[in-house]
Amino acid sequence: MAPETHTALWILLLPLAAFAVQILFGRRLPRQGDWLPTGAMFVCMMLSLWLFVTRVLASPSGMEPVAWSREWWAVGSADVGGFSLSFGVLIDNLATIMLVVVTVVSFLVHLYSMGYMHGDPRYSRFYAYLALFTFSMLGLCITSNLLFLFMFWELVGVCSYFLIGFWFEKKSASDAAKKAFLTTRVGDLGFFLAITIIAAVAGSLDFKEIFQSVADHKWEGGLLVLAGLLLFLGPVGKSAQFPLHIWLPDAMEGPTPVSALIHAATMVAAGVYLVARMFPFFAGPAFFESGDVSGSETLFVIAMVGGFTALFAATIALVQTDIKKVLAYSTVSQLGYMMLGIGAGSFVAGMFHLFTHAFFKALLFLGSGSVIHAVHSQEMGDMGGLWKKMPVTAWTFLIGTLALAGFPIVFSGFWSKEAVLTQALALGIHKGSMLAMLPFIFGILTAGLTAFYMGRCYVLTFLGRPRDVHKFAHAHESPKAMTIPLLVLAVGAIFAAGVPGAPDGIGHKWFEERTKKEITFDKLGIQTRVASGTPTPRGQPSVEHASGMHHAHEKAHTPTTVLSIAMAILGMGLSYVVFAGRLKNRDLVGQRGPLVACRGVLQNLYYVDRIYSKTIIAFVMMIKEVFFLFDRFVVDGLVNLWGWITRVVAHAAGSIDHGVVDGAVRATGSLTLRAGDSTRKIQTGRIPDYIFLSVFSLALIFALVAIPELKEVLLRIF
Amino acid sequence: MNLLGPIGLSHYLLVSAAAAAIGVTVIVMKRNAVAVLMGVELVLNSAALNLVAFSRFVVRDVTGQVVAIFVLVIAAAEAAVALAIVLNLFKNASSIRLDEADLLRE
Repeated sequence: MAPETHTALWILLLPLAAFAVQILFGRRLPRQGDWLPTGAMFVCMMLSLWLFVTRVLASPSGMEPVAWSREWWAVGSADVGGFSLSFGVLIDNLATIMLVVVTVVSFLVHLYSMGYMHGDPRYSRFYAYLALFTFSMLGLCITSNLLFLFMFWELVGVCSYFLIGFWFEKKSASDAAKKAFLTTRVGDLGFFLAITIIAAVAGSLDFKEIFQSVADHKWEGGLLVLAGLLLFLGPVGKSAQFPLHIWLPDAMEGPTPVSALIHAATMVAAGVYLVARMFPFFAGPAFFESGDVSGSETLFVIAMVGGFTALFAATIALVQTDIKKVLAYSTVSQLGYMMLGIGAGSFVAGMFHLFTHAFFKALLFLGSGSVIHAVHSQEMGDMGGLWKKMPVTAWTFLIGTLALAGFPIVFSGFWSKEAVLTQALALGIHKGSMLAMLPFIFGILTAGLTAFYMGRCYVLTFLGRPRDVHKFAHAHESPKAMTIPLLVLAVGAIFAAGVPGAPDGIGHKWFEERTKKEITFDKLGIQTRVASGTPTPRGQPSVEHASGMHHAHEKAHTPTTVLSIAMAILGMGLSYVVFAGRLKNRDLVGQRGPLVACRGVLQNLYYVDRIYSKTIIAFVMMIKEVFFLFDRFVVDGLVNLWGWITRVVAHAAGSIDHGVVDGAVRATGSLTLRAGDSTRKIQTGRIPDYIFLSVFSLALIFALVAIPELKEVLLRIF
Repeated sequence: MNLLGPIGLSHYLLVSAAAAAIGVTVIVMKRNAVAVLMGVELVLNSAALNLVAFSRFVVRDVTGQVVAIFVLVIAAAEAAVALAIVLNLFKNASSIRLDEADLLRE
């Protein structure tokens, strides 16, 4: 086992151990054991960073993929359509980057919770759940087998359920947890169907084997698209894409550290990670041969869904008054961005956006938690002018906002967004059709809206005059346990895109160099067949992009940069004018024209939830009624019938027992009594009777003795 | 048994049996306690007669006759005791009707 594997397994199992101890003994430990998972997470973070720095950053192309697996169960032989199942880990650049993201954010959230969750009655259990979640997420990142990924996927969903519904006494919280789990379950159904199809066609669920089967053209075109779409359903649920996005805003019922960890940085990113990992599967055999994946229908669907979700969610975020809801819809929107990037053909762009987004979204959520902690309210209507009272929070939140809005150069968000948009525009240029331009159009519009609503959020929360004087008076900066993570994340938000002095310069190049196709996929040693039909030897890098796509990419660079910067500045500037300018303290939404008309629709979230509850949920409820009636009448009826029969039988047995058995006993008794009564009558107490008896007996004896015939008779009788 | 010939043993035995039977009947059937005692006397006397008859005709010595006198004496003693008992009975029950004396009844 290579040292990386060792390290990875330690990173994986430490949180599990922490969970086990915490859940069983947490409450008895000093300080309720919050130091235990936090400490474990610190160690994991250090190990991940060590792996990252020594393996990924150290060399220009990062690390060689390290795989370890053990076969578990095999049916038939892999060539003849059999199936084998093995478990193992795969550590490569991509996995290591994910490890860093998960452990760093998790550790900071653990630290933050010491302040935020202080005094909660179930404090120790919170930490136990956090540890379990981290274990699940880490497992998801390092596994080399799709089935185990699914297992960890489900486990992550379960942890999300626990954590969203942590304050389960509140009905809205437990409802939200249920909604989250059930909605993602719908997606997971597609995921599982895809797994079965893959198992049948590829004969294995190992990534390498799956990719090999794609490269070997084992998949007939239509089936690949179908399996790809089904597989994508999982991320649609987990990463809250339209139409399964409905659970994420409701998930804000959970404590803010939970929102930061799970619903900003990690769990929702699992969907994106899956799509990136399984990229060759979605892209089709063209990925290995020509490198031009723009022909893949599955990828285009992913891009469209992602782009649409991004725009859709951004419009809703415009009219939210709850700060966490703004961030929630923003997350949905940004996840759409990531999907857009991957779907447009660059999984590097999508993953890079995931990387930067993790930092600044976690930062924003924790910052909002800080504000909520100070003001004891989540409504922006109660806020305003807080930068005076909470400088650290205000500054870090500003950094997060600028990063999210895509403020140029300095902030990492700009670089990742640019990568995504460039790829989207390149796709549009390459394919040349209006349809292909749609993802880009969605993307660029979203960029503008993002800047606008984040600006609005910032202005309403921190600038201007306080709207609720009472709350304002009580507001204060948060304890160090909460502000330190904010500072760390702010640094990450800026530098996640590299520093000017570093080897690969600023921007996404450092990321791209280490995760591009040649490194991530070709190094797995997939045998491919080029157009000439002869298999190429292992590890030989194939053509990077087809020249057409490459060309388009070059052409797309400049317009994208210009437009994205324009959108960012325009959006933020406009928001300042609208909300901080003449219309200070007015209605949080703004009174201007078209927004008012749409406001109703937007505030009702496009009625998506309403539609769902009227149709699908109503149908399920109807089925529930049917089953309930069945249960009540048929099942319970049978049970009651059985009970009735038992009673009747018992009755009969009882009667028999009473009549026959007891009767016999009673009869014996009464017989004896009556015999006694009769016999007693002899004792009349009257002397003449006694005399008679004795005389009579005497005479009888005389007769017996004297008359031999009588003796004979008597002897014969007896 | 030739009852028409000279007086023999049979005649004596017959008389004694008759007397005994009558005596037993009296004992069994009489309500009056004293009458019952009379019956007892009859029975005893019949026994004595029996003894004397056998002494004269069978054994031909006086043994039976002596025993008969013993029987008479015993009869007398027994009559005295019995009368004492009847007296006590009368003292307690104010009546010597035996069919009413059922205090020993269960």
